[in-house]
Amino acid sequence: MFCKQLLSRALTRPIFRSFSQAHVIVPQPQFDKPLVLPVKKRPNVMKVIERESISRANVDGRSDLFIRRAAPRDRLCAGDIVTVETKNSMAEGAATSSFTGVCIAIYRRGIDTSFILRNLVQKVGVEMRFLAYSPLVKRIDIVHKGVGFRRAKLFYLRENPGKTFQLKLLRKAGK
Amino acid sequence: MKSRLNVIDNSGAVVAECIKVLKNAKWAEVGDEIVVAVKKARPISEAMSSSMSAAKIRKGDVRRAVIVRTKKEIRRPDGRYVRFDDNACVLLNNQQQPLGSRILGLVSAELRFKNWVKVVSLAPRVV
Repeated sequence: MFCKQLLSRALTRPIFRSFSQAHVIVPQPQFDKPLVLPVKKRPNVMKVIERESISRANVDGRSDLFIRRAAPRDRLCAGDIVTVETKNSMAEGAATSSFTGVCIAIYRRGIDTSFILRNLVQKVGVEMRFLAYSPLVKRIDIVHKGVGFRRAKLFYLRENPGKTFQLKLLRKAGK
Repeated sequence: MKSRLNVIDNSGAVVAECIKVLKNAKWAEVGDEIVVAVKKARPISEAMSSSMSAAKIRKGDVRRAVIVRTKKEIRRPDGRYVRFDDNACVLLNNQQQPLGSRILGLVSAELRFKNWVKVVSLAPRVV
């Protein structure tokens, strides 16, 4: 029939005839294969993407530091003394700089998880906020677990530091 | 009220007040040049003033300065943020060189990217 011929022609021909194939950019998949996730009836797409991107960024097990339900001795808590080593650039063999400080805040936002470290460097308070899963962050080490901090956000340390920054680890890092 | 900054060089000024931001913007960040009026300065003894060849900064002088630390967090290209506990500046002369011979305190690494080479080299610590 004439309709059938028209339909078959429409299906076999390319849709945009005025464009040449070279101008069409077909997006390539970013990763060759997806991660194997537990089978769930209706997975939330954004949660799946978040979990996959965290697994890919989690090269040295640092995501264990940010699991909310882990025991306080295994996870990063407000009040811990942390050293972060960052690469200065994405180039191969770039120099690293490190920063040590008391963790005063943790923002758990999936792949955008970040934390703020505070220390007194040359008697001036310096706070640095690091993105946990940044490729520039080489290592996150908990040097000393905090004792006696009962808050999730320790912004009061800006005005009332007490003896928090008198620890040898912090003073050495602050020179 | 205009922003007050601590002056962290040995020019003699202690506190400066920003009276003009020298770029077409409402506020200046680390590494930007500003015009300051010195609000507090170290007293200059008579003996020192006769021997010293460097400029003597008095209260009320209007000078240019470069911001080296801000209390407002600065975003680095990799997503890091840095915040200091105070606002600080270093006074400059007309050739955009630091007026003092020493910088007493830490400065932000942003100065390196904005080409304040002399300031960065004089600073004892750059974060």
